[in-house]
Amino acid sequence: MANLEWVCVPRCYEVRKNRLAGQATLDHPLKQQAVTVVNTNPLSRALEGTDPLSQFARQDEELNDPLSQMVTEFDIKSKRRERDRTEPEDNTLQWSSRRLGILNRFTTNEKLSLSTSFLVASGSLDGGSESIKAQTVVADKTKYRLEQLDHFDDGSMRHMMDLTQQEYIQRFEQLKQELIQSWHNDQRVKALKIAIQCAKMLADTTVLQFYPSQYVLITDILDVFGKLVYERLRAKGSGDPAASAATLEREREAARDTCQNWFYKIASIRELLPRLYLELSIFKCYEFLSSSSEEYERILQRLTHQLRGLADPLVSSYARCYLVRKGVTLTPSKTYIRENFTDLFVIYPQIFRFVARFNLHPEIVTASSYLQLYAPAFDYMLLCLVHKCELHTQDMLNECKQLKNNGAILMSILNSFKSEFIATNALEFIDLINASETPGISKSQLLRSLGSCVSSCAPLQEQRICFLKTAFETINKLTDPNEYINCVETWAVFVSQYFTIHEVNRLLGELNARMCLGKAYEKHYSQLQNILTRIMQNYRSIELLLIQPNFLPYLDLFQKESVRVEVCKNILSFYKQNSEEYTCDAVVTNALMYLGKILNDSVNALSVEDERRQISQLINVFIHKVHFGRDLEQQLSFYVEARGTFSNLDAVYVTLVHAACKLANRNRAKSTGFIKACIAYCFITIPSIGAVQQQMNLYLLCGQLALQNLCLGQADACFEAALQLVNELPAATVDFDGKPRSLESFLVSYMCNMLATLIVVPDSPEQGVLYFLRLLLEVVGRHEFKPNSTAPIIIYLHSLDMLYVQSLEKYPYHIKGVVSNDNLYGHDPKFLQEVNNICAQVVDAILLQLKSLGVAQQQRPQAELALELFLRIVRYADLEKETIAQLAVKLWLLANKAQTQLDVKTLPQTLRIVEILYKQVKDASPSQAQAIAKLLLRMRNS
Amino acid sequence: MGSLLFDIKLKRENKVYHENDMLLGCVQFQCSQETKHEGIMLYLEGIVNLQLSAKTVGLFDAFYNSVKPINLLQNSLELSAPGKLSAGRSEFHFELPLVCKKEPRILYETYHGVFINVNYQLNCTVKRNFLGKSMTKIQQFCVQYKPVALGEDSLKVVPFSLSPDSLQKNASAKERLSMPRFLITGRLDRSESCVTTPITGSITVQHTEAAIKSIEMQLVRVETCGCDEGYSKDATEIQTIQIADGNVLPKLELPIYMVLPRLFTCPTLLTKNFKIEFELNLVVVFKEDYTVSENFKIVLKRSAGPLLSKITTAGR
Amino acid sequence: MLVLVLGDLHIPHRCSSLPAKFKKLLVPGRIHHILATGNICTKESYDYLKSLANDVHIVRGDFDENLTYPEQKVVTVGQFRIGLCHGHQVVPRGDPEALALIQRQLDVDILITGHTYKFEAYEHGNKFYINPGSATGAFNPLDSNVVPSFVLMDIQSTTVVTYVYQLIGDEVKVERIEYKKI
Repeated sequence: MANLEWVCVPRCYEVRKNRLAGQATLDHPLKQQAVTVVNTNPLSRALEGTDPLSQFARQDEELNDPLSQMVTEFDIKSKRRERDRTEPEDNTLQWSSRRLGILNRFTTNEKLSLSTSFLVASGSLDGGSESIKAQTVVADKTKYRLEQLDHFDDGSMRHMMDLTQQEYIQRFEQLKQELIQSWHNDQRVKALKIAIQCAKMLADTTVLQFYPSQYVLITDILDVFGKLVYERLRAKGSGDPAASAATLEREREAARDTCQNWFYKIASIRELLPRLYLELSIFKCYEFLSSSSEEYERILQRLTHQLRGLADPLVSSYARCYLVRKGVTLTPSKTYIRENFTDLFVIYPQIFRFVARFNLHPEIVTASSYLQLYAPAFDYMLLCLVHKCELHTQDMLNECKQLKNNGAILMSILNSFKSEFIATNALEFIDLINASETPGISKSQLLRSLGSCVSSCAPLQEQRICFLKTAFETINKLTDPNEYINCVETWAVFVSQYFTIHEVNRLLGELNARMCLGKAYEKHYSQLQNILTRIMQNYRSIELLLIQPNFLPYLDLFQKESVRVEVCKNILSFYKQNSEEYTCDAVVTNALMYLGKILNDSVNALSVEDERRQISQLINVFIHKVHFGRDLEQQLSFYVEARGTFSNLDAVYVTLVHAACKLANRNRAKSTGFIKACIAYCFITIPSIGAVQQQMNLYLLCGQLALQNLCLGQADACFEAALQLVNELPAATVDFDGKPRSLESFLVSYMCNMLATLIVVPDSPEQGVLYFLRLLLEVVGRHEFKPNSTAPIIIYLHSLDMLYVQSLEKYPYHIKGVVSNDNLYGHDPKFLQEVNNICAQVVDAILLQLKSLGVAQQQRPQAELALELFLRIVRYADLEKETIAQLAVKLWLLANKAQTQLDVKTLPQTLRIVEILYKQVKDASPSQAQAIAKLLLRMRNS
Repeated sequence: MGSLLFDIKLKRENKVYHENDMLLGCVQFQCSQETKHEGIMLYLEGIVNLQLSAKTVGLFDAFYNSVKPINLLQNSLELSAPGKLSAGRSEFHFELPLVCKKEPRILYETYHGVFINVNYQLNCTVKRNFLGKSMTKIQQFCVQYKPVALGEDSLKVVPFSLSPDSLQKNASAKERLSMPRFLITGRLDRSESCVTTPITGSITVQHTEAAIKSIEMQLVRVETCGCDEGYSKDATEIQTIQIADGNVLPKLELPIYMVLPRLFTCPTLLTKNFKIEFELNLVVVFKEDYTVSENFKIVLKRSAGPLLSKITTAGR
Repeated sequence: MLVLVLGDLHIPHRCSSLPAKFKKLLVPGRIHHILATGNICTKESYDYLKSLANDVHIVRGDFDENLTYPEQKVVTVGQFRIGLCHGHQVVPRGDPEALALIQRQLDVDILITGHTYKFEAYEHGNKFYINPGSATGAFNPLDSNVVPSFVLMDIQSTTVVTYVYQLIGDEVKVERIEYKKI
């Protein structure tokens, strides 16, 4: 029994909310700013910019009217945007976009070697002895000989052997830096020599499979050199803009002369390959000597012919590629490119002599990968040939047809020609591929390329079906599963983009059949995954895809668990992004459930949290999307099925409970039976969720919902379950960042939420007065809080709030249809007595806690909470009872003792609240007012 | 003592002049403070230097006279009598006619060879008092002939053909039999050409048993010093240009294209004291380092200005 | 200074998204601060708010997964101290005296709370109280009639002009309420 005699004082005042008057308005800050057309004088507009008077007028207008100012700004912006659009930068022919691809594609594990006189081999100790050079007696004679830039017989040449690819790339990077540095140190001949040495290394094809990358590295350096020369000449030739015409002409002449000297110097390089590469590297400098397109054309043709002197077809092809690279920047003419192809076709058979040799010696390089080496050069040259020019397309195709072993060229045509052209001639290409028997280039490779061509641009509508049929006749002839699947990979895009679901389904069926043979799927998971992704990316409706008879069997190809899970995740992600807002199709739902089940089953005790979260999220998305419209029963039975299926995933259960609640809410006032079923569903589902905190939240939610729907029994069950869980609540939980986070503040606010709800919960005849409140207090009393925690006090204080409401004649809120305690007991004194008793117990409990805070030297929280209690006593309790008044004074004193630790405002504010209260009750209840006044006096006097 | 910097500037940026041109320019001085001097002189000089090759030195003592330097131009100009150069920048402009007044009454083209050099230069000397050393700056310039039309030979194609049979003079019949069979044909577009235009032509490997390693074109100068009584004649390489690298495809016409180096070539020059002539060697190197070559005599003339392409851009 | 005030979204459990008509109004770049009363629920919703304005303040609602959000927060905008609290901790629910207590504790000029899913704006004891309601109109287990609403405050020195956006039927109704600090 409590020591305190507590009596709730009736509330005799009403708190007034001064609702501020609002006015409906059409004008507000989020209003879409519509651009209004300004009525400018059409005459002045017609004369825009010509007539100074109207210009002034317009300026005035703009200054006066901010709106039109905005419009002009808008105009200017949109014009600017328009201009940006009309001049898109054409990057198609830019080499820089290709170089990285080549470097990544052509790599080697073999050792590489490099010869240069400009790098000191790292790690070699004999570097010092190199400085003593043999004095040659004939030195005076060589003075008169033309200095040979590419002769390095004086022993300064270093041969670096056994370099790994990485080291090799580093060396070239060093050479590039050395070149740049030499240039900026005015050692231009040295820079030129470095460039020549680099170019010479392009003749080295010892590590074949690395050659394209080697070419990229070396031409990078040559490009740097070319740029340095060009920039310098330009700087020299442009001169000071302020200079006189004569000076400018003189400077221009000087630049021209220097330029001529560069070409003279390069023309004297002994070896053919570096001489041609160097001339090409500074090809842009011809600008200073001539501006006519014919002149460039003539030079390019001469160089094209000179390239015939390079016997090695690979070296020659790449040199031609460099020529084209340099040519396209200066002239739009295509004739010289065409001539390069004429020459290439002459040496083309030579390539196949090598192919034949590598067929016998695949240990050097396989024929197929040897042919691959040519692809970047051919592709780029062909692209340049047909870029913005139709002149040679048909002609090249014809020539390709005539060519023996035309596979390599055909491949490049497919890679480089406009998709439109290929689409128009698609059937012809199929024939060509069928006829092509090129060693080293398989039909599947060609078909693969054709597949990606038609994917980006399809043949004419009326040809499509026929084309697809013909194409797949050829594709299906491929016996090797690897070739087959590689080929289908690109065609999947085409089929899913341009055909009906019927064809997509058939393709899946064919794949199923083909890949099952001899368990071929085992080796091709990545391609099979790719194909699926591409189909999903390109086919319009993911739902339609899901219900194809061959779709789920396709998943069976992924026998390996981890891959299967990956695939399911992928499909559900696609569903998440691309599906309709809702689905009500049972077949789609079944497919989704099937996928979800695979994911659910893959989760086990060892799964990481992130994986769980990801999977749950994917499943939740489709649970939210499944929507059977008015058929609520079906909806609920779907949730029942989902609960059975996704037993491993807490987060899915949470979603299901929420979904069932929402479902119950949708029903409203139709059938209590159905609502009961929903709540029952929740009630059964919640215990399976692992996190206590989630369970508590959901029980409270369901309890409230049940209350709202007048299912009192179920509401009680929910509240009871929720309160019983409190003691299972762990002290802390692990949050997203993996940090432990105390659950005490959660518990406090949860309990408050609960208390606010319990206000309207009517007592059950079986459980006695205020059963849930008493249960709550008991649970709090038993709960182990952190040492010196203020949590229990706060909960108790709010319990007082709740209890005080219970003592009122009319509660501040009700639920329609629910008879709360105010009506249930009709302000019965016995009930009030019970409330007062509990209040007294609660106050006792608070005092006990305050005391222990004091013992633990927690003065500040003790004082603060003491004031909180003080305020509640003043507001809720009958101060005419002496014990209560005494307690209030004691608490006030307690708080005052700790004044120094409190916020300066706290005590005066508390006093003010009491004063306000006094004013509020003064008229309605003079006795209460008097008691308050007395208390204030005592507080002052003590 | 302050610093004295000076430089001879020519009006023509490319420093190329013809006979009877006026050599215009100025000498620019930059002094940090007022500088005293004992006169500033400008000398103009054009000399042919002849030199005998080492192997013939002893033999031709008698004709030593014939290798004496030949003076083509000699002129001097006093830019300033003894006096002072004021602090800062000062300029002395000059005008000198380029005329050869005595034998051979012609200004040969500038040329740098091994045994023969034709060189033109300006020399500016600032004389100082007996304690200060004289200071000198040299500025070289080029003399070129005025372009003349090419002769009829310039239109004549020079065909050639290389095969074991064509090499009769150097190989015995037996050697010829052991030789691999090959046939290389081609042409030079002309035997007489302009020093500023590249030498062009073509070469085609018709067939060959032995793989080709390289095909090269060698430019050779033939310098002759002395007169009828005795002379030294030396052929030296000027430059070699590779035309084909590796075993090129048969029946593919390869272009011959050689830019003649400036300074190291000049129009073919035949005088009574010396001769400058040019030849081409076509060299085919086979895989086993077996080499065959063919020699062509060529005549060089000057038929166009120093910068061919300048003409096309002149109108800009 | 435009301050967007909203909360109790309950996406995705109770609603799939904000009403389209609201989304159309909320374009990035116009709003300076966002004060969210809680029950933002997921990271996606938070990211969405972030895309509207860089300065987002959130307090924890009863269904926020993220426990790192504070229970209460004070933000200063111009000359106003604004207190933010979800409100599920208030006993009795939405009680003006209880809220006044919080207002005094936080010492703020404006107190913003949610949880009741009903828009409210009133003055009490010279302080301003706002409840933006639920921006999605999420169902409230204790109240069946929820109108989607949010609030936009235009704060200019000592004046707050509050715009209330309510989706009534299929139309956005806007009301303007002016409050001056004394």
